[in-house]
Parts: sequence; C-alpha cells; structure tokens
Amino acid sequence: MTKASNLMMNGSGSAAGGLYNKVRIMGEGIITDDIECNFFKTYGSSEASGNVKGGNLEIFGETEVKRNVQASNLKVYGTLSIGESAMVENTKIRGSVDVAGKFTGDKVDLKGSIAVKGDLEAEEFISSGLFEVSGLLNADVIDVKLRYSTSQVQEMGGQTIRVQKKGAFLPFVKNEGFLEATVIEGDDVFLENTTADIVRGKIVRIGAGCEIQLVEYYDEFKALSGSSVKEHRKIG
Amino acid sequence: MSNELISKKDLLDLTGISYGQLYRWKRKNLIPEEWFIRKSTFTGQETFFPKEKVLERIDKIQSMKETLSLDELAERLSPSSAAGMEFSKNELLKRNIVTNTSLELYGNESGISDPLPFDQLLEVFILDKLLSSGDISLDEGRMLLQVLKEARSILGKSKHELLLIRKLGVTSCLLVNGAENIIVDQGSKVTVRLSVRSCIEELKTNL
Repeated sequence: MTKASNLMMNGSGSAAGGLYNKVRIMGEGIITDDIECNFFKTYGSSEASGNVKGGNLEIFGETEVKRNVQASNLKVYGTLSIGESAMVENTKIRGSVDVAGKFTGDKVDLKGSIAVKGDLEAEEFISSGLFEVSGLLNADVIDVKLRYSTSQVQEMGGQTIRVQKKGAFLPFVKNEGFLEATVIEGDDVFLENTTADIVRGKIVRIGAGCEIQLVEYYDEFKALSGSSVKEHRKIG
Repeated sequence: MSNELISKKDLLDLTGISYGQLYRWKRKNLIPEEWFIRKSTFTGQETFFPKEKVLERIDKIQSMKETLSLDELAERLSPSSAAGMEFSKNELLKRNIVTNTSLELYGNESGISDPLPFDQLLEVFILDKLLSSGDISLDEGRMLLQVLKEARSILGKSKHELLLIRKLGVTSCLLVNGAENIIVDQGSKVTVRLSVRSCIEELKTNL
C-alpha cells in the first residue's frame, strides 16, 4: 500500500472504491464500491456502498457503510452506521455507532452510544456511555459506569464484570443510569442499578439499585443494602 | 455420535474451567458458536452444549494451551484459516498424512498440482480416510472426488456433512449443509456420514 494515492473530496462528489493511502471527505461523498485505505476521515457526510477496510478510520460527521468495516483504529465523534459487521481492534466512540451485524474488537472505549444487533465481542469493554446489544456482550473485562438512560443487553459474559452507577455531570439533577439484562455470567461480578433475570458467577456482589431474580454462585455471594435478590443458591 | 447435551453449569463443574475462560474461548472461536444451544428451563434460560464434542474440545484446548498461544490454537482449530498453505507431495507421503493410492487416484480424477494447496489436500485426506477405513470402494472414491471438487469453494465454510448412501449396490454421494436427521427408505443404507469440519480439524492436527 506504499504507492497508493490519496483521495480528497471537497464539496460533493463520488468515487469508485479501490486502494488508497488517505481518504478525506469534507462535504459530501459517496464511494460506490469496496475501499481499502490507510487513513479514512469524514468531516461532512459520506456513504460507502461496499466494504470499508482501513488502518485508521475517523468519523467527525456522518458515515454510512452498507457492508462491513474492518480497521485497526476507529474513532467516531459523529455517527457511523454499519450495514453488516465490524471488526476493529481499537474503538473509541464519542458519538454514536449502529451495527446491524456483529461487532468484534479488542478494546472498546465507549463514551457515546453503540447499538449492536448481533454479538459484541472484545477483550476490554469500557463504557460510561449507552449501549444496546441484542445478542451477547462478551469481553474479558466489562467495566460499565452508568451515567444516564438505560443500557440493554441480552446476555453478558466475561471474566470481570463491574457495573457501577455514576451520577450525571450536573449537580441537583437527579439523573441515573440503569442496565437491563437477561443473563449475566462472569467469574467476578459486581453490579449496581441492574435488573437481570439470572446472575451467575464465582464471586457475585449485588449492590444498590439492583433487582435480580436469581443468583447462582460458586464461592461467594453478597447482597448489599438497597438491592433486591429474590433467590440465591450456591452451586458446585 | 451421541446427541447428549450438557448444561453450562455441569460443564464448568466437570472440567474445572471458569466463565472467563469459556467466554474467552468462545471469542477466539475455539468453541464454535453453533455449539452454544440456548434453552429455556424452569430456572430460566440456560445454555447447553453437545456433550461429547465440547468435552473433547476442552480437553484438546487444555492440553495444547501449554505450548501454544490462544491465537495459534484458534488458527489450528478454525476450519477456514489454513487456506493459503501448500504442501509438497513427498512430504505428505513421508509424514504418512495420506497414502500414495489416494494421491494417485486424486491425480487421475481431479488433476494434481505439486505442491498441493490446502483445499485440495483436504479432498485427498477425506478420500484417504474413507478408503483406508474400507468404507468405500475405489469407484465410490471417484464419485466422492467429483462431489468434493464441485463444492471446493464452499467446503468447510459451514456445517457440511458428507453422506454416502447405498441401495442395491448402487451408491450416491451427497454433500449436505446442516441437516439434523436424515431418514432414508428401508432398502437404502447410509454407509458414510462424515462432518467436513471434523476432517479439517483432524487434518490440521496431523500437519
């Protein structure tokens, strides 16, 4: 990819896909086929009809990719919607991301919002934003700070799962975040402000604001004050 | 193959692995997605696994993870990753991965290149496996190769199974994708039922 040329679009334009070094779209741009590049930046709005494969993707405006996204680094300050699946090593979301398929990554740092229709898989999932995962949120470390609104996930699984409530920035505004899940499973689980049907783990600690139907634990279980656990049993 | 299922809880108890490990292996595709079978039970939703397969797989992972990293392991176990590798004929024979008979038959039928790319080696391997077990004759082997050649581009990409059905001495060879139960009439007999994925895994462990 050393000799690939750059693609700059200012104003409004469209380009076929292909191999590029830098792609920069300021204004409005349409890419009509698969594109592969080292750098991809959108400041206005862009649309890619095919797959987007790149080293570094940065979205400041609005981008729609009709098929898959594959990248080493993805930063979204605006909005990005992906028609199929995404495979990204490092993801930083300050704006919002919508994925119709599956999201696979290494590290996800979420301060905006993400909605994934399939599974979301990562080694590290760190969020103080909002997420909605219709499948399984699977990560070694899941660290969630609930700031506002309600995040939803069908299933959550991993080694360390920590969900904490965190007040909004503004004082005197009583605004809390919540999490809703069906099943949460991990080795070390700590939850706050979470509603779940089943929580399973080696060490399970249920904090304030939780409403859990059933806890199954191997080694240790603690329900802190302000939580409601209907049933708990030791297994193994 | 038995269809017995094991619940996630029992699996963790039996093998001593943790939730973290199980989810990590799932992420790395060491345990395929389709083995996670979700069912509603009276305690709520539970996940089950095909017992025999998953226990064998975990055993394999645990014995290999001492020497290989998880990514290398995934490489070894994933059906699609060996594409692009090539193997010389002499080496294959020397290391007893396939027999000369199968290589020759393959050469006559499908034409052989030396070195052999992985997808073609897989075809030889399947042929070799069935010929040496005595499940098929040379003629049936030829038929098998035709089917495999036809399906070369898609083979192993999903849950393909290879079936040989014999009736009154006449054999048909089929490649099916994701069939649970196959019912044949009384006069027919399913002589071979082979999962392509397990062949790929077997071949990879031999390489």
